[in-house]
Amino acid sequence: MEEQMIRFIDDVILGGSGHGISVDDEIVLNGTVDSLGVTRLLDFIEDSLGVAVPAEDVTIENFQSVGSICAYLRGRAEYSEQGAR
Amino acid sequence: MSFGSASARSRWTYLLPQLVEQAAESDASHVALRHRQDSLTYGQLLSGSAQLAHALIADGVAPGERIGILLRKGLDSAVALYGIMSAGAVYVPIDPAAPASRVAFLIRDCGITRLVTSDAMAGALEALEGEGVSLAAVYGVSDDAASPFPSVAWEEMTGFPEALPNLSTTEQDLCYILYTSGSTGTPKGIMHTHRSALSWAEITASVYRLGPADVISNYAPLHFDLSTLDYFGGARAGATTVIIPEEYTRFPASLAKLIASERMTVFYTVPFALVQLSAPGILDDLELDRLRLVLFGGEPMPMKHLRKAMGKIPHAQFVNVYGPTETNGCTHYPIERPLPKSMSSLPIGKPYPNVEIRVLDNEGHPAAIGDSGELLVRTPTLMRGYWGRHDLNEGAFHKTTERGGLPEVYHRTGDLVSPMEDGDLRFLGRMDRQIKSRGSRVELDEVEAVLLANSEVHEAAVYAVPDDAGILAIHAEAILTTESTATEKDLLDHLRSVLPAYALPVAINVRTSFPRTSTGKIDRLEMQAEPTTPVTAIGRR
Repeated sequence: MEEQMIRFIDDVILGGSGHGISVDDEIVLNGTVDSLGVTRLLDFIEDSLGVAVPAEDVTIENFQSVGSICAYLRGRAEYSEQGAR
Repeated sequence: MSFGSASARSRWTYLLPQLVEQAAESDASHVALRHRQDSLTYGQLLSGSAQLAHALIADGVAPGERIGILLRKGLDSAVALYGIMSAGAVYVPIDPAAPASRVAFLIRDCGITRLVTSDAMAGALEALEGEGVSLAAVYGVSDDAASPFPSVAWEEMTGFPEALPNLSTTEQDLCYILYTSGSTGTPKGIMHTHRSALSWAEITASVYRLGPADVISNYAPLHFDLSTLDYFGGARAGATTVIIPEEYTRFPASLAKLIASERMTVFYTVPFALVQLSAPGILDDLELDRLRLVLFGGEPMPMKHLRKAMGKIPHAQFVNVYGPTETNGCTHYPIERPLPKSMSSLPIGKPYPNVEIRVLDNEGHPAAIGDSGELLVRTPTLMRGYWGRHDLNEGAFHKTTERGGLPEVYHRTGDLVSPMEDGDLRFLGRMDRQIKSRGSRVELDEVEAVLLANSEVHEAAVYAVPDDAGILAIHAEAILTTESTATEKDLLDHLRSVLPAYALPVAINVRTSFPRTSTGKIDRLEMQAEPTTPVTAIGRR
C-alpha cells in the first residue's frame, strides 16, 4: 500500500518532479502536499484502495506521512471487518 | 520646551507600529500573538520589532526602502513586519512556496536588497542565488552556512533599544506592498500606506467591536490581504491573534478542533474553508460557544454550504466581507437569521462607515436599482497605486471634480454589481478575466500568457469552471506547434516553474482545435460550458 501511495504522490500530485519521498516524510508539514493534493489523495484512497475516509478522520495526525495514512487505513479496515462480523 | 507627558504621542495613532506601542502601554503582558505552543506578548512584540528596526537603520536602511519577508507563518513574521515598518521601511511578503523565478521577479521588480527570513529557508535562498539574485543582507538567519548572502541572527539584534525609533515617517508613506496576479503575465504590487491600512484596522475594530478579550484567527498567510484584519485590526483592539499553522488549513477536522481549543471569538476566512468545515462530522461535538463572529470574503460563498455552516454554529454572527486588495475592504453584509429560503446568492451589502460607493453603467451614469454597473469606491482604506506601474494606475482611479471643483478619487474595482431596493449591492462578476479560486486571486490571462510563452504551444485557452460546491477551478487547453511532441505533463511542469500552486490548472488538455466564434476568436465560453475534463467536487469533503 505504501509503495502504491508514494507512486501516486510522485506521479499525480507532484507531477513526476521526482525527488522521491519516503514513508516517514512529513508530506503535509513540509508543503509537499497542498490542499488540492489532500483532495486528490482522498480520491485515490477511495477509488484505488476502496476505502472511504469520513471527513472527521481527515486530520493532521492521520495524514502526517505516507506511513501514518497507511497505518490509519489498516486500522479502519480491521475495524470494518470486525463490524461486519 | 515640553508639552507634558511623553506618552501622549503614542495615544495619537497615525502609523501602524504605534498600534503595538499603544497596546503594550495598556497591558504589556497581554498576549498579542499565538502560534502552536508559543506566544508573544504586546511588550515582547514591541521590543522585538523595535530591535529589528534599530538593526535595519544601523545597516543603512533608508525610509521607504522595500524589505522582503520570506517566512512561513509564525511569530517571527509578526516581529518582521512591525520591525520593518518601524524602521520607516515597507514590508513585502513573499510566498515561500512560490517558484524561485517568481520570487526573483518580485525581488527585482520591487528593488528589494534585504530579506527577513529564517534558517528553514536555506533552500529558497540558494535557489534565489541560482536565479542571479544578489542581496545586501538577510535577517533572522543564525547559521551562516544556511545563506549565500551576508546574514544577521536574531541574537545579534538583542543589544539594540527596545523602544521604537523616532522617525519622520508620515501616515501617507508606504507600509506594505502585496503582490497579486497580473493579466499580462507578470505579478503587480499593490501599495498601501500607513493611513490606508490603519483606516481598515479602525473600521474593523470599531464595526466588529473588537476588544482585548477577543481571540482572532489568522487563517491567511501574510501575502494575502485577509491577514491585515487579523494583524492590524487585532492590534488596534489589543486583542490576541492566533496564527493558524499552514497544515491546519488543509485539514478541516483539525482546523475545527483548533478553533475550539484556542477559544477563538472571531474567525476570518475564505468561503472555501467554510465549505470544507460544513462537511458532516467536522464541527459536531465541539465547544464553539465563544465563537461570536464568522467573517468571510474573497469569493462568492455557495448558499448551500453557508446554510450548513450557520446551522452548525448557531449563535455566531456571519458576515460576508467584500473588498479588492486595492481597498482592503469596502462593503459588508451581516447575515440575518434565519436565512431567507428565497435567497439564491449572498449580497455584498452596504459600504462601511467612512466609505462612499458609486455604481456606474457603461456611459458613466449611476446605475438604477436592478441594473448593473461597475463598482467605484472612495475610501481612506484605498491603496496608493501599483508599484512602478503607471500604465495601470491611470485606469485604476476615477477622478471627479463635481463638488465645488475639488478633485475626488475613486477606485475602479472592475467588479460588476447591481444596486438593490434595500441599498444592498449584489455582486455579479468581473469585467475582466480575473477569478477567485479557493480564495486566491488569479488572472486567467496570466496563466494563458505563461502557457503561450512556452515555445511548444501554438494557442492556449484558460478558463474557470465551478465544481458542484460552486468553487471555481482553473482549466487549460492548448494546441501545440506542428513539430511539437510535448505532453500535458510537460506543459504542467512549465506552468509549475513559473506560477504559484494556487494558479495552476486542475486539468490541462492538448487538443488539435478550439471552438471558435464567428469572427474566429477562441470561444472560451463554449469551452467553459462543456469542459473537456469532468469537474470533481473539490469542496465535497
